[in-house]
Amino acid sequence: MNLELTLSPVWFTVLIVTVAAALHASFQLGISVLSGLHAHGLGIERRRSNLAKLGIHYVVGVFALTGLLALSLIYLATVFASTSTSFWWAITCGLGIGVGIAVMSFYYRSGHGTMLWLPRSAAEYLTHRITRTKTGFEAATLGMATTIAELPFILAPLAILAMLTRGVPDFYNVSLVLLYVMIATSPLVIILMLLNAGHKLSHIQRWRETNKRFLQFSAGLGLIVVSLYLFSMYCLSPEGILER
Amino acid sequence: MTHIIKRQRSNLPANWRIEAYNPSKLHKSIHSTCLSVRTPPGEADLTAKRVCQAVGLWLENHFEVTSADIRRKAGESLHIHNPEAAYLYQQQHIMA
Repeated sequence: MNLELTLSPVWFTVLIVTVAAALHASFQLGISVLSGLHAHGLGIERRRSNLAKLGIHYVVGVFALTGLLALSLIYLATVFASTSTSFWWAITCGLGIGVGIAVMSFYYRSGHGTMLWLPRSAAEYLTHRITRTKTGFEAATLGMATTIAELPFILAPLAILAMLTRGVPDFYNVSLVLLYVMIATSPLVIILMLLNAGHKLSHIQRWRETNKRFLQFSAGLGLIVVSLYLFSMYCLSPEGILER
Repeated sequence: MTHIIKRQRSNLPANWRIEAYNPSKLHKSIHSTCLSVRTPPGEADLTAKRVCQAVGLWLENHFEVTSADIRRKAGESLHIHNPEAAYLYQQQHIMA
């Protein structure tokens, strides 16, 4: 079924951007670090307002760097992908499929807990920074560092966004970028609200551990499916080759 | 005195560090974990003391243990007093 024939191009792009953002949102490193930051703050008896402030600054850091990465990739796509569009779509879809397979294979380490694929040195660095975070600025930079650490996986959905929104930065494209970044950071906002409302971290962690395989499988499979669909749209079909 | 072997990201004995068991470190760790699950401070302190006592008793028969052994034993003892904190205590090093 050719979705683009049943949906207008505008809504089609909104749908794909939303799916890509949801896939980005399903990655867990940001939530792990936010949980660790909150747990550490409670453990050393930080004031509740201070804890909330650190959490908000952390989310702002993730939001800002995700937005900057998106805009950078859009700029690169505008400069390089304005010609030989099918070639760049093939690269993007290949990246999506590769990352999807990687997510399904080794996003979580084997065994108990929600230990991620990260090299241990990176995980130890983030853990060390969590214990040293005292001010809002440090929390924001921790959020940025977390986003950079997860770059190998978030690059695929960001590349899909970049290819769909490249070109003139009009109101429509800017709105799509904002929509993407808001959806991608929404799990952090939800977790922050739950923690500040008094929910126990152990309940959230238990939920994450119970559902980790589902999240892993759905994120990986989702990336593969979206990439294959976009590949068939923009690399194989004659209409797609003539369009974006 | 019981010694704790800390495996520094390596299974090679040459990279292991050995230090003396310090009950105040364990007390602080258990105390902060209990506070992380919103246990009242007084109860957290009492729970930490009980766990340290239980681990101390266990260590009387052991000369050398690893930090993973301490974590496991402390987790088992903590589970009796505060199951939520015990879950988080055992998850903390495997959350990210």
